Amino acid sequence: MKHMRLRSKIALGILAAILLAGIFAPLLAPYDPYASDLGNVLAQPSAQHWLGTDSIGRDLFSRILYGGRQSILLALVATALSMGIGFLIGLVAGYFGGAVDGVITTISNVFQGLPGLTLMIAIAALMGPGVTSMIVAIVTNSWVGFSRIVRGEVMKIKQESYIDGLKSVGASKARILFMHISPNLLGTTCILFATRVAAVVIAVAALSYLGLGLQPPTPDWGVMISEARAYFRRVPMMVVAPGLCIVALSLSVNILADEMRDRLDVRKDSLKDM
Amino acid sequence: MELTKYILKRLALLIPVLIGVTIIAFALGVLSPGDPVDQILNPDGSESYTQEEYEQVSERLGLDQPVVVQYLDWLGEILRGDFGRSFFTQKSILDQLRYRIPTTMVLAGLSMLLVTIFGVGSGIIMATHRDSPLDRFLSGLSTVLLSVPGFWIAILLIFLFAEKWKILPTSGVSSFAGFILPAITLALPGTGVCARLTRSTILDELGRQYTVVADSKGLDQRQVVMRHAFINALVPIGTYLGTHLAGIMGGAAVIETIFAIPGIGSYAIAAVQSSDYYVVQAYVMLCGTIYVIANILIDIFYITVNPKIRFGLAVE
Amino acid sequence: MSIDIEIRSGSVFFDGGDASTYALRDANATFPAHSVTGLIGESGSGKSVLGMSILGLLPNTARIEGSCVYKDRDLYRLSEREMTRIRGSEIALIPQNPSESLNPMLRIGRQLSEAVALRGRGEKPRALERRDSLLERFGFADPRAIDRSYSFQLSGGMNQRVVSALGLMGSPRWVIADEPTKGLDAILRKQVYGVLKEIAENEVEGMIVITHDIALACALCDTIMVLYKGLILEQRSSAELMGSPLHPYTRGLIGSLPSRGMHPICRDLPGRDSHVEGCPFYPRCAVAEKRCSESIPPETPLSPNGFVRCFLNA
Repeated sequence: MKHMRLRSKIALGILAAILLAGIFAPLLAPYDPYASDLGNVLAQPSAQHWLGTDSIGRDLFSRILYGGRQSILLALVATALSMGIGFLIGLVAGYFGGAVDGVITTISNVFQGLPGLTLMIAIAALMGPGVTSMIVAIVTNSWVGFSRIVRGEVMKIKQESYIDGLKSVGASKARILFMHISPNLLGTTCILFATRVAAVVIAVAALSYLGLGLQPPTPDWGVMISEARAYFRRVPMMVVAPGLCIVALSLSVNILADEMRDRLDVRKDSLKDM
Repeated sequence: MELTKYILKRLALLIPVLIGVTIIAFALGVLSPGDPVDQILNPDGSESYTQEEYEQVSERLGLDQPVVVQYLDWLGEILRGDFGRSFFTQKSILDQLRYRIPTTMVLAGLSMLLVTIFGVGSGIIMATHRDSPLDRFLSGLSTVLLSVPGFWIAILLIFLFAEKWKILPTSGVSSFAGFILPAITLALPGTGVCARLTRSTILDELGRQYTVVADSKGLDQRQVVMRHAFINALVPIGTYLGTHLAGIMGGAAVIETIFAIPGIGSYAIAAVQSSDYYVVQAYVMLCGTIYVIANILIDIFYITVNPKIRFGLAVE
Repeated sequence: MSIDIEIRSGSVFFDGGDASTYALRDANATFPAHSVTGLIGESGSGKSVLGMSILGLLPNTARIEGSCVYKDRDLYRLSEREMTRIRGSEIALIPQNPSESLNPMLRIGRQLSEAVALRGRGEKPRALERRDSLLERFGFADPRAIDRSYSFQLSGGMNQRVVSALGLMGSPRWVIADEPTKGLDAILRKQVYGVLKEIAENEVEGMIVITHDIALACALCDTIMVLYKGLILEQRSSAELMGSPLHPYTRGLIGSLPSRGMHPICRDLPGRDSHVEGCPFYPRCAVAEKRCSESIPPETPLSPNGFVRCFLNA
């Protein structure tokens, strides 16, 4: 903790602030984020409304506080799921090797061939917009990264364990696998998790902006930007504020991921294109 | 001989991928909600029809066949270039794609150019001025670039350049100027990643023994970086750029929609929003093909740059 | 103007990590022109650090103290640009690990010629000529084929000869050969010895050989310096060193040679704390006294040349 660079400390602070604001939004928000007040639309920032109001009179500040909740939770759940699935698949591919590995690798390539937003949009179209379809879309897109790392690690251990394997018998090969898992794997996975979450938050916002993700009247940053588009000239704050929140969240996570990467000091190629 | 075997092996790996893409594209159509027969017989929901009529149309469309046969039929049509017709407009999908592809190509190409020039360029600058204020600034900027949502920046940029300062059009591509803002927006995250990657790769190479030796020959820093470190760094950098190209379609689609550019991406998103599944299928197919082509390009690049592959490990 | 290389109170430490540790301490070494000087020691003795410090090729984290005078200039104080002018043309390196020292992506010919060709216009044809003639001198019958090859296509021995040629491309006055026989079998070692002897006699005005191969050092060098944990413990002519080594460490080294019976030097003796202020060899020295653990022995000059750092030889 002590050795952290200044910017990492700031990033940690900002991230903590965002998460706390999201968790305690019901306590902190002065207004109900859904409550509209048609007599007071598009107001400038004032003592009553710190950031002003939006096109149907909802308090912007309250909506901002609530704005990260859904996307962050969504991003965390979806990425965790990807990690779990990727881990299992990578384990199978690495452990069994041979034809099984070949099939899994091909399937991984297929999923990588339908990149990012395209697939998410298509799945959102299929299943109708909403949380479930976004989770499915995110998982389909993200599991490959995790499975590749795990597969590589398992294969590396397998090589070593063959040497040990002369001493051990049958069943304990699995034990050796687990005993030899390098601390590197944990670190690498954490870094990938962090960078994926940052990217997913942005992707969720983009989908919501297009109307394919979270829907109005949900107080979500992405949705807010889409609603605010038309009013940008009159009340730029409506667009700028939620956007800055997304940037703050994504940036702080990326900076912390960098910090982790430096600590890890691993010279693996896989880290470089995270 | 080694070389041909390598090329064939790489191609062999890509073909199953292509097949997998077609399966998924087809699956998207099959799984989509809505009944195409019903759509045809009853487009606005007011007409009714008999079971006989239903079966007739079903047969005509080939929907009474088992799924696998449907898939093979569809595949056959695709390979012949028949992508079918859009539900929505009843126009030939192939025609639409042909009309719109050049636009998307220009957008994607321009954006790739920006990523390459500014990403690699700033990466080199950062590596050669390591730990200087310039390096710190550019590194920070790169990290910011990949943390910023494209659609949001697009709004800000449009406001600044098109509405306030009026130097670029707000939307559409009636002139080349219309491509500038979208290409920049599309290029931002890639530039950030590329810059960081270039920087770290070159710095890695500068730590290797052969660069110390290059120093010892009396080469100055610029020469060591450009003649040695950069050449070796080209491989991972080139691979990244290829991967970026392979995946550019998704981001391009969103950008096209925001800037109202008539490319294949905006076509696809509009189709998604109006449940026009044949179009979505065709689009997914196209993206998959581009991915495969981009991977082939990466492989060609790798072969050209890395002498070990060309010459194998011949001894003496 | 003397073209000896003279290091006075040279010290090098690296920052970062836990504590700053000295890789080289208070080194006083004169490398006279027209002779071959050897630096011998184990890994971590500081011999490479000393050699590389002359050329300014230490990593960025290195901090250098003291002075290194060549042609009336202190190399430790020169700017990077000025060092660039000296490297390759005045003082050159024959690097260790030849396979690692050559860029696997570039053809060998280019790596050889660029040392000279980049100096200015019109240099290129001369560079190509020198390159091919050097390669012939080093036993390559077909230099053109080598020029076209990549490092991974050649054997270890061939690469060693290539990097030897590389060091000489700029016609330097001084050559520093870093671990030229590391990892080579006996036949190749002999080959390299022959090459280095040739270079020392005909090509350069001074040579420094960094090695852990005592036999090579004694055969090739006129003077030898023995390093241990960053300190120069003994400096003698090679004949004297082989015949009558003074420092206990040197005696141990000589004694461990196959021709002398291969007696190993012991590991840390029990009860000897290695983190003390005194002589770095104290923990392993069978004949150490109490004062050896209290302070570093000063240099005791010997006649006609040389010195030893040992209380027992004061």
